Amino acid sequence: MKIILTAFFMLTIGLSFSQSKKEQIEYLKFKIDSLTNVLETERAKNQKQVQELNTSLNTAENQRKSLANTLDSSSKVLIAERVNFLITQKELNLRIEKLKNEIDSLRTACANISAESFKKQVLIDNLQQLIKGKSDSILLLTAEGLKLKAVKPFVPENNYDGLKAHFTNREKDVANLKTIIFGVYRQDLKESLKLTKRCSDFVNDVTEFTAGYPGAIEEHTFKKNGLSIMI
Amino acid sequence: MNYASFTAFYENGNCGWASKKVASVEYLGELNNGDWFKFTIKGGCGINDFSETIHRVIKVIKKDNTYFIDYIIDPTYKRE
Repeated sequence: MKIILTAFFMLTIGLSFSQSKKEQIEYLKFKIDSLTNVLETERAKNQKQVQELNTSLNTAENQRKSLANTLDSSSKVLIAERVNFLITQKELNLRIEKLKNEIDSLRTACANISAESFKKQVLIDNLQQLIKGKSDSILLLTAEGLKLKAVKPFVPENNYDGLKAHFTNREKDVANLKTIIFGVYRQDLKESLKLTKRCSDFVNDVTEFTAGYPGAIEEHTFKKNGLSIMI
Repeated sequence: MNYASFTAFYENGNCGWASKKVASVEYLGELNNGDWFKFTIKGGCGINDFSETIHRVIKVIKKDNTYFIDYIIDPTYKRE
């Protein structure tokens, strides 16, 4: 009995177990289907991602190539510029050297000019001294010229009324001359007034005219000289 | 340069004056590079005769430290 019970029990358990397995299988099938769907979905998604990544990769590759080309061009330009720079630097060095030589030449010339300038300055100083001397002479001559200009014109002397208005320096000390004039008739005085040739000539004219000597001055000329009543 | 002496023109023509003297001397001033004097001479035909009076204006110049009369004029003469 025991055995039968056990077998029964076992059968019941087996049936139950079979029932459970079936359900499990159904469930697993369902799960497999779900997983298959998920897998399909993931696969499609991943495939899409792969495509996108491939596209990105192509784009990146193109960009890389473009950048490589740009880099290559830039490198060429840089090389060319470097070559130009080197050439320019060489030329500049040559120019600098040339300019240094020119500066040296100019320094030498400048030193020569300074020496020449010093000589010229000495010459200028001498000339200025000379000019100063000449200027002094000119000033002196100008003063003399002004003095000469200041000399009054000669006033006709044969008309006393005309002379009176022109006498100057009336306060001059002429005591010595007055003494001489007072003594003109004194034979004992050594110092006496003499006549200039001009005065002597017309005194002779007066004398001869008055005395009526032959060849005496004509009356017209005599009167013209203002001598008519000298005697 | 000693030409005629001063005595050649003192008289007034009416005679040879036996007497003569300078009565006064007046300084007129400078003109034409000379000093001018007006002076009065008294004299006459006889000895000690000073009855006549004449006036003369002279121009005196100095040459080589010597005085000369350079011009003589009668101040009373009026030009015609």
